[in-house]
Amino acid sequence: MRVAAGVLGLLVVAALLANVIAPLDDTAVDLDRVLNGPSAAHLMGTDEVGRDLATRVLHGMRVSLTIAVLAALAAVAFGTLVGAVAGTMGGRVDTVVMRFTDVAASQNHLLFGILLVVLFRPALGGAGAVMLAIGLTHWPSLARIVRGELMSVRERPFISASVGGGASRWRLARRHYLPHLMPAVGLAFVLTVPHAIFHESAYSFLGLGLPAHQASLGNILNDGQRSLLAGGWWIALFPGLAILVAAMTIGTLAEYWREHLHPRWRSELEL
Amino acid sequence: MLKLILRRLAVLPLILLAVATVTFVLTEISPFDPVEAYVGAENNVSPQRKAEIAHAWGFDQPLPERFGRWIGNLAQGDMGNSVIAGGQPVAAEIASRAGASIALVGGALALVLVGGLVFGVLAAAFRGTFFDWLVRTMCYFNTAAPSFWVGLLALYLFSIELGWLPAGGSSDPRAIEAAGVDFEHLILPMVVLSLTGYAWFTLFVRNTLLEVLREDHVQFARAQGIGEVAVLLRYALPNALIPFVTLVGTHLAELIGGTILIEKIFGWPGLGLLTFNAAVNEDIPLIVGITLCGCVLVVLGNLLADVLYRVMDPRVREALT
Amino acid sequence: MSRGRLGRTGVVVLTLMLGAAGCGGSDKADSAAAGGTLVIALPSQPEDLNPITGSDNVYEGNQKFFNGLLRYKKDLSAEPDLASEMPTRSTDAKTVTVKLRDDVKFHDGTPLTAKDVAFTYSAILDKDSASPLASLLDSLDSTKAIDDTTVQFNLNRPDPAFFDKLQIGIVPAALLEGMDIKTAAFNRKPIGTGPYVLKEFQPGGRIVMVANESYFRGAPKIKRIVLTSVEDENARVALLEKGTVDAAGIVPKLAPRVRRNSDYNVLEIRTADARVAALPNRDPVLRDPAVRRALSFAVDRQKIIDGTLAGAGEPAYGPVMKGHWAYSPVAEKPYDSAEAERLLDAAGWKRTGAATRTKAGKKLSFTLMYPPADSVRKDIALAFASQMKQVGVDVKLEGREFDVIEKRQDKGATVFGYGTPYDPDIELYTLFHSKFATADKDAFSNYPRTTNTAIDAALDAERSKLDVDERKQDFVTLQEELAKDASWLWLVRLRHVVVISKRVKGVDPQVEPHAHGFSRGTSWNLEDWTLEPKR
Repeated sequence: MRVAAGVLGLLVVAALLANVIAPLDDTAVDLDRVLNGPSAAHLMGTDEVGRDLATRVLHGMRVSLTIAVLAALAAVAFGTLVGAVAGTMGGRVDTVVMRFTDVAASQNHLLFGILLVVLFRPALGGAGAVMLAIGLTHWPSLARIVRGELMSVRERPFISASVGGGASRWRLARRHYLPHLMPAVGLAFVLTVPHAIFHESAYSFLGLGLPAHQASLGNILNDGQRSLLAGGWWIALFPGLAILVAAMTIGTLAEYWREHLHPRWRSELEL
Repeated sequence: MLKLILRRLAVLPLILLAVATVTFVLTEISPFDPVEAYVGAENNVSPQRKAEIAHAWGFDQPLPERFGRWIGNLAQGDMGNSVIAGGQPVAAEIASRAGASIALVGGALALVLVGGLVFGVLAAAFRGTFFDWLVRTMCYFNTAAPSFWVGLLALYLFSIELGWLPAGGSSDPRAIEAAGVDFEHLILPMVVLSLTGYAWFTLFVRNTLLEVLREDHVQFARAQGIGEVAVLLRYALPNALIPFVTLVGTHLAELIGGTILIEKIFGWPGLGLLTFNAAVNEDIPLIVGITLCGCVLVVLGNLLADVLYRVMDPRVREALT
Repeated sequence: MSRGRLGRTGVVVLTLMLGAAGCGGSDKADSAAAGGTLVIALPSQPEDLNPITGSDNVYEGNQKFFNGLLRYKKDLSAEPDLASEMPTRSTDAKTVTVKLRDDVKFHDGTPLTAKDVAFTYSAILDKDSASPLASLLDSLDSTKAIDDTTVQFNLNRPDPAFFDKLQIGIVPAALLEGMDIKTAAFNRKPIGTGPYVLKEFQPGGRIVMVANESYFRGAPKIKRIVLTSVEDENARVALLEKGTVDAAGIVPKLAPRVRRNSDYNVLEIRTADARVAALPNRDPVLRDPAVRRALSFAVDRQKIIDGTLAGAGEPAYGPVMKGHWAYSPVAEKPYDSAEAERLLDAAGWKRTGAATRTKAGKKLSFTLMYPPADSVRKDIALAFASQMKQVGVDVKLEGREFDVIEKRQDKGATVFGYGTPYDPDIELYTLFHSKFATADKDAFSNYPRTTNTAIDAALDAERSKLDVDERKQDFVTLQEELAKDASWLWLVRLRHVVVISKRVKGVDPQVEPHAHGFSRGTSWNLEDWTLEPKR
């Protein structure tokens, strides 16, 4: 657990400082050093146009994390909205909205996401379309959590007391609902990030994500596939390791948080 | 029970209608241009010619008309024609590729179930030992490692470097008999596809078993002097299996996504590769068709899970009769 | 109870696995029969086998199932295929008459007549077919069958390149008449006159073709050919090394590995396929022809070839390739970054040290777009950008799909792939003529929006003559003017690396066009190849 926290901290710091540690130039092509293996000068070797792989993986980590976090935020935003509508309005609205959520929840993320990416890529660009796709496929579990929390909170005596005291909906939302929701939503957000990392790299790997010359872990993996037989195994190995490490550490931390605070959502967020 | 099944099946067309409407709306509001996708890249096609093409394919008709026609066709099982794949009917395209994917998914599902059960039980039986730690660590690794990365490395190692297994495809291209699915070609993609699911299931079985082992009836059995193995298999496992079985239905959705990546890596001629090619060629009718089929599959899978759940849980059965 | 359940699960699993095993792989007995099979690996499966709708150029649509009226010999000169002799033109060159052979039958036994030819060409022009070839036949008004063996083409202008357009595969009118061609089942079940007949189409997998024993030129020697689609480049090489496939196009990077294998010939085939950066004339920085001319000196083409193409390429300086009858070396300028810097300085763009050049406060910077799915284009764009940086030009790279590029026509340069080894008029007229410069939804005709009267004059001149020597003069003038205008920065011409088993005899590649994998350039005489048995 402590190891996980430590590694994650290191990764995040490294990613944030990527521009300082090793400034990236996508066009730092060095055609004399194509596909060199790991060495003292290039810790992870060079890629198929001679760029230093370690620099690209570091920046790729930053890009992938950024996109994953933004996409998870999008999922949280949309899910919270839907869950709030269902949770506060109750009755028929609740039933219809939750049915809709059930259907959305059962769709396969990648399949539906691919449709979204292809449709919206011309307008939003690769990164934007991927964020939209991840956001619009991961919101259902968040909606369920928010709705569940809201429904239980509404029954509490202190809410009736507030209402009795003349509190407006807005005041209720701000002072009571929101603080109660924060831990749950926060945890769900953190648990969504590893999924988002995986999906972003999957879309980029398929060639549907970020433009190919930019450094994203999925793009580098895609390049790696082409270079495998020419001997460039390091291009396929390191970005995958980076995804693995990032996902594992974030996942471990989130699991720990959940075990401690909220054992109830096991079924919601497990599979 | 029958009422449940019928009720769920009756809702299926409504669900499909909802999903179809949502995808249609998305297609409309997106700036995607189907004529561009059709004429392909770098073509000196005049605007007038593009208008002709749009008219020939019916892209330029007004919205309600197009929607109505599309829904009407869907109801008859006509999902339109693929714009890219030789203009062939989408339904026929999907049907022709389904077999290869069914073999792949079926095999992977079997591995997930069997592997999950076996290793989950073993890990619970040997809880706290090195073996348990090993199994758990491998599972954590598999849930965090991207499946396509593992697939890539596996293809490189086993097929290309070591040459033990075929490098992609579903059967030997030189073979005289009609192309089909060949076990030797199936092994690697099937195993890679099953890895993530197998990891989740193993952990799930292990954890559920450990919870169940703490329950009263198990303690009672132990108190009676029944051996640990019997306690595990005859008293704990049946209860753990109930939620396990219901997960199968939902895991189907995961596997569908997995096939897109795995089939691309291994060149497996199934629906996943079809989806990938459709995405690259921006063939919207085909992608939408596959999405709708996926939706049907998932709903049916969930229904199956619910039915199994009710069949297997004696308490629910009692309540129903 | 639990043991029983496990047991049942076990049986289910076993059945699933056995069921999936199917017919298994080929064993010894089969391999003898399959010895007369040639297996070719392609990077993707051709989805549409109908020449009318399957391809946007005359090169690839026929596969081996169809014949055109004419075909190319090894040196790319035309000779009759389904025609009995070369076509004749009327005195005003607006009518072309073709006489057909009378001994050709379709795969279903029906005889080929002029009616089928008229049907094919009319179908391409028909709006409902949405045929990608329609723009190619812009000079054709109508096609008529005069009698069973005579076809008359009525043109709206004298078209010197028309004979190149007579390579399009001819389809049987009887099978497609009255149908919606773009969705016909025929597109997956082609019936043509070609040397091979379709036997099996496995969607997403392989295509099996067998020899047409009643082919009018004599049955092919190799009786069975399998085209299997293998998208992964490493897998293709692995299949070659294992002997699972006999021939494939591979990426140049992997050529050294295959060369070590003594069972295969590795051929490097010249192609007309060039990568070129189109520089928009409306861009504030690139509107100055002096700047555009300077950029060409700053490109180290050989370095790009060695670094990104593993040496499989040649420098490109213009739209016509070296060795072509219309080629002129006037645009060939060696790499000279010092000259580039001098020219840029002279144009007013100065710099201090290694910074980007500026002029009146503005930076010498432009955007370069490329389609992200194409890794070779990406690598070339990257190499180009880094070389531009050396001389103080800042190139911003953007990976954009073509439909997006179209909308940003004036906002940036784009890396295109163009080049034809056939008649240059087919491609160059729409690329360079100013009449295509102003249309808004038509980005890929004259992308830079060049309006240059000298270029226009040369194009109009070559298009109006039929004599090859006279046209050559016009093309030389065209290439001179293009070099001066420099809206197109030609970079490299690719070479395709094709690996073929030494058991295959008769391979003699033509120069290839812009194509993927195993193209017509290599397989133009596939029906004349022979396959020696495995030892």
